[in-house]
Amino acid sequence: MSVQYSTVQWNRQKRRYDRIMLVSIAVYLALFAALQLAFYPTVSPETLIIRATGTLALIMLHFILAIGPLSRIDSRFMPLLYNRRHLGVTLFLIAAVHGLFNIIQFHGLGNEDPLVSLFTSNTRYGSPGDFPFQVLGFFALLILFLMAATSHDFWLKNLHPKVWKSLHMLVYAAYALLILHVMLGVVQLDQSPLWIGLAGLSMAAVIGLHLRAGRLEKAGQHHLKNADQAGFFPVCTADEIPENRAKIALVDGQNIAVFRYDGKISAVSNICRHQHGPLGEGQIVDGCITCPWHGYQYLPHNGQSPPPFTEKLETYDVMIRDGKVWVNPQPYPEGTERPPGVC
Amino acid sequence: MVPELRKRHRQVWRLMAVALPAGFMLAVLVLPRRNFPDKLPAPADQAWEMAGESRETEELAVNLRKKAGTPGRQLEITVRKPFKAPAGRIYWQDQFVGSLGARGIHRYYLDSTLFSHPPFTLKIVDPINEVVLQKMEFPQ
Amino acid sequence: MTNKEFYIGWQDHAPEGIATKTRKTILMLVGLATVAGAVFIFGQRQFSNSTFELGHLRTLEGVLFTDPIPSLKILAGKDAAGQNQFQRVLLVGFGKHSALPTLEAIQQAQGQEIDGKGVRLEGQLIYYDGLLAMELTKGEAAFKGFTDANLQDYFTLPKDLGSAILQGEIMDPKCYLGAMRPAEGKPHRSCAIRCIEGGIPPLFRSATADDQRQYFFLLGYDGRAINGEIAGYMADDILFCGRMEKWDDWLIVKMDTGKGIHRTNPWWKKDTSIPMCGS
Repeated sequence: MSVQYSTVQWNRQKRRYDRIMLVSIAVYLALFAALQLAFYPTVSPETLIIRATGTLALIMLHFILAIGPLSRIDSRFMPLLYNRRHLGVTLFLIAAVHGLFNIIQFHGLGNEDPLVSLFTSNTRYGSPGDFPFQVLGFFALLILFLMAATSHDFWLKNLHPKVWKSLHMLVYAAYALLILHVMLGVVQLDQSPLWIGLAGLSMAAVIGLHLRAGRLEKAGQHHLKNADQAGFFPVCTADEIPENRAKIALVDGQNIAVFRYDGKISAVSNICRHQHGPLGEGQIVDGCITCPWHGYQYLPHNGQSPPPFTEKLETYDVMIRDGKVWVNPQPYPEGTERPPGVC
Repeated sequence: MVPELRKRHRQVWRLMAVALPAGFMLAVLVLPRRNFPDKLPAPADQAWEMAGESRETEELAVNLRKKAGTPGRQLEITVRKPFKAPAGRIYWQDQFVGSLGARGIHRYYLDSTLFSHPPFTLKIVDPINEVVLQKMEFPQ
Repeated sequence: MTNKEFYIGWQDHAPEGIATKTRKTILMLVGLATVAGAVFIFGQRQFSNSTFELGHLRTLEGVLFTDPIPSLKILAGKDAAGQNQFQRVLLVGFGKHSALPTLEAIQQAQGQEIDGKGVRLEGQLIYYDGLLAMELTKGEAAFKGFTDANLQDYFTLPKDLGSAILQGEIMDPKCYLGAMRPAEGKPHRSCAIRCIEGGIPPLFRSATADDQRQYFFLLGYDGRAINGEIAGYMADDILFCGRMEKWDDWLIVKMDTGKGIHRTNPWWKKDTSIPMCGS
């Protein structure tokens, strides 16, 4: 949560996250170089760098793509999600080294501008087998650059979380481009069944995780029906909501998190102001609704972040009738205090 | 995530689940087939009959061959793994015979005068680095 | 939520159960990354032992030939009949460029013809599989003076080896002989096109299934350079009709472009209309 601009809001978990990430990257690169030099001693230094960074970037991208669905399937993976942005920015830097070395090595020092050569040296765009695979990698790198450049909360706020999230969904396009970049590139020369098997398995794992998370989410959606005359919809019995937890309800285009705490029930927007995280999948900690993604907090009865923070949520009327929780999907302006229902 | 974004995620991945494996399979199908000619295009000297011993190292296989009615012999050198050297000059009894070629079989004519004083020494020399890349002795 | 523990990133410590799970997950991910990296490494084809003596300048002397392939002909030795035998050294420019502009600059600076003259040249050596090239790294400064070698002593006639259908891949020799590893096939196609368009003489490699090889410098049927015509076929497996010659230790093929250049891939479109080659 931020009240003023700073480059990175460092905290212990972020520092640990980055430390582990950087150490793992260093270990991977060292191991890769050692194995490569031990078993393929005549590899050129440029090829070693290109292959080490290329494989690392691909592996990191698979992890990044797996973290989202994994944490939706099991919330215990949330710590991996917490600082995923730093993982993404680091991925871009590693991919940029790969791209830069390739462009210099294959297109530099020639009779054409390297960037022009990238697009004009191999012009068989109409042939699947001969397609200029480096162009695919270039566009994937461009997407990763856009994502890394806009990864800071400054852009998240200024572009609006919805636009920002949509922009960052381009990572899926980058993934598709990279799979083809590899399959139409280096695989065409070495034709290793090991590589083809590994790429196929990894791709199947990422697709499978996303489909599974999607199915679980869809099954877990709770659409409200049958409003009473005052416009209140029945949600569930109060007992069905565990203490300090919420039930998420969708009705009339509203996405509502109905929280139970201290014998009371309050309803607020389910959408965190930070990155549109699902507040209803969070908990009430120290009296505050806490977003499961990055820990942004709001008071349940008025949707306001505790001072000095300024984020606010829409609130909703709730009432308890015969042990049942009812909610009115007509939102109040952000930060409006509404009396909680009493169980 | 807001429900509409989650829905978009689901739609994107349903599309990816079809498109990505399709692209992957296409990429496997268009892998270039390796084709090899039955023989090398430039004509090579015919191999004579084996004469004497053969020598094999990691880099080379060497045979001496003879032909009835011909006083000289044929030196057959098969390059199995190229030397890491800018040049490979072949000397038989310190007489220059030729240069080492590419991976494959090469045959050189050895004059009968080079067989007067056994044992015979074959040397492959890199004159640029001034190193002997290979030295072999043939008793007869 | 499937359990009661709740992770908040800005808190100093994660709940114990989540922390344990995270540690295990990280270990598993690092393990997976290592396995993936190892699978990649051991799936690679072995690299050649080609050499580019980067940063190591050497001087060679011999007789210079600029046309059609810039080369330095150096004395290899005298055979049993007392005949001079030669090794040809391909000359290339810095980067992805022909040696010709450098040689022209040297000629201008010397104020006299250098083609066919005995010269000493300095550069970085590039070599592999019986072939040697020199990069004139320092441009004009590569020229280290004339020698008393004369053209007459270094003159040899090309030997005609007849015509054939040749199958293989056109390489750019600078990369293939050592500037890059690997320097063939699809990943290297763009680079090879750059080199050939930059004027580096194309090298054709024909290899059998048991990896016996012959290398031919590639020229047009009239003996001229045809870089522009063949640049589009780099990294392809091709068939063409050509007339072969032996120039000292080099093989040359003069491509009969009139009979076409035929790609053997994609495999489902294999062009079987290979013309007969006269011998």
